[in-house]
Amino acid sequence: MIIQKKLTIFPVVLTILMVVISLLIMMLISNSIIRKQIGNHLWTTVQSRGSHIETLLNNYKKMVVMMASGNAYRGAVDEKLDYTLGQQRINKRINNVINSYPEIERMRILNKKGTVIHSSTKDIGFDKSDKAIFQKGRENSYIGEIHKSEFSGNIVISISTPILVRKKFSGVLVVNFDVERELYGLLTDRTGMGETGETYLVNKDHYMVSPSVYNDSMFLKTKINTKQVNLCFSKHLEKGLINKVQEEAIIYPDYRGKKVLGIHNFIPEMEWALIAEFDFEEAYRPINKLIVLVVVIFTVLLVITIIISIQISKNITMPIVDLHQGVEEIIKGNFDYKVGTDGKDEIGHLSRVFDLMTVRLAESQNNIQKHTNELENKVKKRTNELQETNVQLQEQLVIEKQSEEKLRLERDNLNSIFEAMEDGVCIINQQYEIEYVNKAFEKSLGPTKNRKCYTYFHDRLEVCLSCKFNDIHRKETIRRRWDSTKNDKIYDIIYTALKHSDGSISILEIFRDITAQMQVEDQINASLKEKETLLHEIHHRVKNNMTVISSLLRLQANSMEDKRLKEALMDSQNRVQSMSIIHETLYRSDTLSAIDLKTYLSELGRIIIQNYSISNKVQLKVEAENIMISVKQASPVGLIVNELIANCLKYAFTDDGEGEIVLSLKSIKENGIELTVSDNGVGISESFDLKTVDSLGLKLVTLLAEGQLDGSIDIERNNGTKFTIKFNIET
Amino acid sequence: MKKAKILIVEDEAIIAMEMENQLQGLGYEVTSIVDTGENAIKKAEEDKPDLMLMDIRIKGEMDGIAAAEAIRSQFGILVKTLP
Repeated sequence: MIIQKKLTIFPVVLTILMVVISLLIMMLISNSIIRKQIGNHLWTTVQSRGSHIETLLNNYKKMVVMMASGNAYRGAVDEKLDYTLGQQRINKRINNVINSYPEIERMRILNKKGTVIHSSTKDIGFDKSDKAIFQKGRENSYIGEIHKSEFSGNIVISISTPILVRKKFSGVLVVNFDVERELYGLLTDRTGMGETGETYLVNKDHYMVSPSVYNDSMFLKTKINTKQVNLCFSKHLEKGLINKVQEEAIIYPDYRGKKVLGIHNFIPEMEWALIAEFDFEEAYRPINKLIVLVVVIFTVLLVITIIISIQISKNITMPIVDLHQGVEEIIKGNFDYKVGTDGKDEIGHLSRVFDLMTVRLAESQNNIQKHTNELENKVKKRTNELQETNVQLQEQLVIEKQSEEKLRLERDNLNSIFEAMEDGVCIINQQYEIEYVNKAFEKSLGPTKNRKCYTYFHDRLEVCLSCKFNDIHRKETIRRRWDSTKNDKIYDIIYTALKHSDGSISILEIFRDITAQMQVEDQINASLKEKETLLHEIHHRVKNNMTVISSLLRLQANSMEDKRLKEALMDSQNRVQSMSIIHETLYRSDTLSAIDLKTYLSELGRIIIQNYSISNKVQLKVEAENIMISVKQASPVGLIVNELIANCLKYAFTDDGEGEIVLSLKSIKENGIELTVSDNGVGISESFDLKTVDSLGLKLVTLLAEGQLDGSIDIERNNGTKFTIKFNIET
Repeated sequence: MKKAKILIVEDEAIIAMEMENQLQGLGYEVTSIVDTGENAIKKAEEDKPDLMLMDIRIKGEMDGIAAAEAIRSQFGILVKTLP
């Protein structure tokens, strides 16, 4: 339907538009033509009428001048002539003139003082000296204004001229011409003026001085200020233009207020505006007629256009409407509906293609239906799955909430533990910011206010070198002592890495104030040092005392003559000395509780060899491991070694024989020690038995080895003698 | 052959006596036995021994080591300190 409307309305609108435009153009053109034509016509009229008026007035003036030069009129004012005689002649003359020139309405002769001396009417003796006709007329011929005669009531124009007697001004001849007879006839001539055209005169005071076609009371009563009159006087009176270039006709409201087309002509002698006007309505009447005709023709054309366009649009849109209906049917789902026609135009072709399309559409519709069903099933299935998942998720959410609550509780507990701890706790993140401190920390080291750890602890602007180069965030626990400059306390700090879920690592630092502990430790150390010094002193004293005993025994021995007594004293001296060396070794070493057996036995062996051997031919070889032993055990071991070496020196070698004694010391099993003293001497007799031996020295060896050291003693006889003692170190 | 002269500095009289005995037994001449560092310096100057045996812990203000140092530097006498 919309296409049909468009097809119908478009030509109609186009036609109307064309009509309007044509009318406008036509009106514009004809308007201009009419204005020109009427203007030309009016111009010709005012030109010809104006010249007629001028000619007429000139004729009048000539006539008056001619009369004034006549003897009769001169005689009438000649003072030298007989007045009575002249009066008769002049009266006769005036009457003749009035009778023979019907247009002359009245004649008067004024003497040189301006008094009427002869007249065709009864105004003789009237003084006219102040009137324009006398004032102007005594100088030259003068045409006065058109006015209404006081005597006759006719509309007249007065012309006056001087009367010269012997070339001397002697009076004025005044002739009144009836303008209604000839002048008005020129103006009211209707030739070429149609029904409404008129011509009239307006004087310089804007009064109409000729009759109006429409209004009798206009004459000399109402001022006319129409556009045309103003234009005329402004042009010719005010600006003084006198050229006779053709004026353009203009349209304006006239003195009746009616729209007119008018033109003016200026009559310079009288300073009159000659106006010619046509009623606008009459001037444009032919155009109006033409417009009516054109409108009628166009209306008929429009109707025809409408009818034709409706028909054409119907022809075009009907198949489309059919097609549309078919499509609507198909939209409703009726795929069997056929819209195909036999039409050979494009629409017919379209309709057949459309049928084809419908068939395809029906097929695809079926396919879509199939797919839709499948899809719906899938969606249902998926929805069920989603619902199940949702339920599972809900359950999981509950579990997560529970574990979250558990976590929160645990965290709170942890927090409480931290807060309850007496040790300071702080946590530092990977950006070296102090994240958390507990109450004890704040109390001890003051508030941290989220500061960087290096600023807070060490007043530094950058990360401490120890943190920069050793990854403080490594995952191990370390322990460090810190002498705080903040409060002059000593802390034992334990650093532990805390791993976060995001992979970052914080450091948990536990600050234990060990200041008091350290003070006690220092006291203990001082006391220990004191005691150690004391112990050194005691060992030295003991060693000195023993050396004194040893010296006494040696002095005693040296003073003895008896060899046996001397030997016994020497043995005793050696035994004392073996014990004294223990104390000497002790106070020379750093340790006071234990003694290195290797150092001790080497020194002991050297002293014994030195004391016994006279010839220096026996060598002592010490093969010992470094074994630490208590003073308590060192004493019997020293005595055993003393006895065994002394025994070797006494019995194993001949007086000048060379020999070697080997002292060996090694650890066996867990805490066991094996001590051997062997020689390459003559060897001990087979009958020798430690249990039954008579010698004090060997008795002492057995006693000390078995009784005091809880060890064992064995003798080997193989290329000399070898004593082996085994015992356990007391711990 | 002239006997080597030895000066003993020892505050423990018995030990000093035993040492003197032994040294004489070995064929040396013991010039004096003194028990303080001050006396040791004095006697060293008087006796001009070949060797001095000096105990470290002795009576008086000076200990053995200080006395030995003084004697070595003043008189150039060989001093053996005893522990």
